[in-house]
Amino acid sequence: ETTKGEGSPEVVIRFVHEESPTSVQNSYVEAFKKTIEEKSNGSIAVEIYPVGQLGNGVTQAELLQIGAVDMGIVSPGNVGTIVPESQVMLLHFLFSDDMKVNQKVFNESPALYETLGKAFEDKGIKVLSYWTEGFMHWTTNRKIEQPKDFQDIKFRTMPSPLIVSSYQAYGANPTPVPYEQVYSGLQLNMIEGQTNPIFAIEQMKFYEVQEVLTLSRHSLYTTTTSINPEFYQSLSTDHKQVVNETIDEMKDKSFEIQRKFNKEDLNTIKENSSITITELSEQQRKKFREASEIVKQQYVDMVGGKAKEILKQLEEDVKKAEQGEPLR
Amino acid sequence: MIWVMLVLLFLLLFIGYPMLVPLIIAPLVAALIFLPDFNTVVLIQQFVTGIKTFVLLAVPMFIFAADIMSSGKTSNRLLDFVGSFIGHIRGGYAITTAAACTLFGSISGSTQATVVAVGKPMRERLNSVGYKDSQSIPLIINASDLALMIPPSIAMIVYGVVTGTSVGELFIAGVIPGLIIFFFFAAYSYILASRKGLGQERKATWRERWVATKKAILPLGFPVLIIGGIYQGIFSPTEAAAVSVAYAFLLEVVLFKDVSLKDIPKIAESSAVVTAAVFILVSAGTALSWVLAYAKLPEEITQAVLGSDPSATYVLFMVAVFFFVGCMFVDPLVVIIILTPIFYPIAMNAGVDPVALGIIITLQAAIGSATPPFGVDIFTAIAVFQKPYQDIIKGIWPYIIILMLASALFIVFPEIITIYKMVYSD
Amino acid sequence: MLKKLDHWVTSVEKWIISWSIIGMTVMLLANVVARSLFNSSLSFAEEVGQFFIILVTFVGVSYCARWGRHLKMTALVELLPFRVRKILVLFVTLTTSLLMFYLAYLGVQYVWQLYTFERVTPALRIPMYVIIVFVPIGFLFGGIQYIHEFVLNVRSNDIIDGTKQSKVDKEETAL
Ligand code: NA
Ligand code: NA
Repeated sequence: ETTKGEGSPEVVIRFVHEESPTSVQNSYVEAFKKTIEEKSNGSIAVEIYPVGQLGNGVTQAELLQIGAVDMGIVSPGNVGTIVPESQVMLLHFLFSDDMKVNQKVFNESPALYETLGKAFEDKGIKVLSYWTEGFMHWTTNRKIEQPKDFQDIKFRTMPSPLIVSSYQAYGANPTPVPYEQVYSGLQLNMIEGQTNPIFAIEQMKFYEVQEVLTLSRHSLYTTTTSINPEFYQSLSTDHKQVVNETIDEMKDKSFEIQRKFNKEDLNTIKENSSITITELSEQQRKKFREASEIVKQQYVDMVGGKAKEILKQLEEDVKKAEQGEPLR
Repeated sequence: MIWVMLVLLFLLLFIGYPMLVPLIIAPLVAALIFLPDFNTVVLIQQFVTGIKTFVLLAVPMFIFAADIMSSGKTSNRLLDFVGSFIGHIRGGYAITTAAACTLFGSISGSTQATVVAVGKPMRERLNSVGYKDSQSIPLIINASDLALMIPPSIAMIVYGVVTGTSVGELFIAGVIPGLIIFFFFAAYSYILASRKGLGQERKATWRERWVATKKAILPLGFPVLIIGGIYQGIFSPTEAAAVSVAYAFLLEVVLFKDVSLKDIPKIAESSAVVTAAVFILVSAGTALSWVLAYAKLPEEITQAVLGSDPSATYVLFMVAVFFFVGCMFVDPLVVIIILTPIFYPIAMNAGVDPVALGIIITLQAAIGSATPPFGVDIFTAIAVFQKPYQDIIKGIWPYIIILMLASALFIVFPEIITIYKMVYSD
Repeated sequence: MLKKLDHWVTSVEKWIISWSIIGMTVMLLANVVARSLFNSSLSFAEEVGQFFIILVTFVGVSYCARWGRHLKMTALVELLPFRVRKILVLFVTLTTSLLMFYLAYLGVQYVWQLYTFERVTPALRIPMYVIIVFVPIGFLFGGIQYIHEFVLNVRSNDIIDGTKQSKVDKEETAL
């Protein structure tokens, strides 16, 4: 209806994402749009709905399920309430601290594309690719070097039981607060710490109201590019191929985008504030890794079904990637 | 499509449908005609999404607290106290109302909660010194706008999230414009009171003042507790609403015993009815704006209006118009989420300061929320005061004009907003 | 019989909405206490609060219809002659009830969808459909209220707003 002009498109893809016009997700979707419109010679057009205009993470996933929109950036952090198996991505110290290794896992892992992918598809969401918006880090008012430094910190998390358990395992007081209230919550000390990727810490200016940024890399902010399965099936063979090719090109591109954003935003934080920035040593990471181990079992027990298989397979995929072996 | 929706909205509203109906029928019919592959089940999903925001929880809580206090004598004790000091000044009570809204709004962050919590006791008092509803209610509805301007403000936070602007700077930048508007309101109240000879009482003696103060000591703990609790980080603004219920309960039921425990469910019922009547409209408004966003209408219209390479002042002017009109129909936060991403890049290209843009947007959202036909504060006021629509909106126009003049001032001289930068640095 | 049922539904609705308001208050207070005194926040506070809001709003659809408390604008209608107003009221109540029934039907579809996709709440992991089912229930009973109001208006020579006001009580004894 809105895209007119030369060789008007045969297919219009309604594409939703949650982030602002200057964000990782928007850069990804803009690049996707440009690539696919060129590749298809204008026979495919993409309509972008940014900033959760049509709804927040879960709402978007539902819109995708019922076909009200065709594609979306769907994050396991949001849809753990629909696809419980996807909560594997919330576990700490599951991936490598080497992003190159993670890139290989996200691009090829059979655990993700086959087993977890099947769980998504059972719920009416077809995952085309997995990618990340960067490592998650901690901001607090005190130095964090070992789990017991978390003792009694009112730490803002999402309300998911696994995330809550992860921080309880470190001794913190996990406190779910809606995203919009995090800044003022930190400012007034209602909460004393939070976790997010660098780009979000910069965008939300959490560094203005926190003392210490610990580059912990305890988990990855994982997301997916997903499509409504019926919509995908309705595409012609040619168009399906164009979609698949574009997705493949975007896989490595997504890692470039997140690298660029997180690097620039870390610089912005350094320039604009005097926040102390520290990194965890290998020894310190090991302590956190051990403390968080019990949450993995909780994931398996809570989710059941294919959860155990997905976790085991994914851990093996990461190991193989670290040793440079092929994943399949 | 927009015309079909507008005609339906007004037509159905004017022939006496419950407001809920036009707000649902307009998007439903428009979507069925213009969006052939529209899935109507989404409307239900959006009804639910619209009222699920955590911050909205504060509204029923403040309604409940205000209901408990007005069942007893807490609010009167407070107002007797204020009155004993400034009741003899022309427009004193009206100015107090504006000040109370500013103070309360600064903590609740919600214009609706402010209308309820401050409005209920203040209206009674204003009317008892000779104000008519058509003078007191519009003042309350509009002074509540300051809830969005004075930090913490949810509207500014949402703008900050959408655009990546520093929330801290927005908060600071809102204070001066907020105070300017407060002074405008105070001046208008003074003029109105002087011209109509309103709201002046005998000057109280110091002895009377002392008696009133003693009676008000515990109720005075109320703002101290709420503001202190929030700024000490003990509870969030949403939770503060529940704490205010607890405090009202403590005073009325436990200490003063003006309300009995048995009355509480009955009071809760009346709070619930007000909440339900307002929230179903918030729900419907969310569905309405979803359909607009889905059809990409806001984008089309702004492109048509702005043309290429508009000047900064023109962009700000159009921002004001669009947000103002949008907020006349739907919840301000929803409008900010939908329109901001469209205007932000255009405004940045035109050289507008992102903080100034945020403050102008917040102000428009606040004004729109008090503007007929569907401004949320208006239907909150109808529900709370149980007055017909026409009575509520009768005296509203002078305030809207004052607010529009203030907007014009800030648009032409955005330096008023950005002046904080002279004293504030990272 | 019908009157008894109606009476019973009224009480249930009243009970639900008033205790939801009290429940919300208690929930939020409990979270403040747990977080600051016991250093252990309640991760489910937000979703329980949302549940109560949904209850109040949608059960309230019917309850507000019953007492004629839905907000509307009557300024222009009151300028019209009585006969025109009467016809308008009949038309408005009938079509409003039809709309509510349609919304109830859509609500059932949404509930069914949540049921098949097995969506749960974030913290307590309660099936979402258990909560959302109050949306179609609210619209269904709301629709019934407006049909009732329509019938009362057909039988009466007056204009009746809501089904539960003093004027109406007289009508009901005549039923
Ligand atoms: Na505020
Ligand atoms: Na207002």
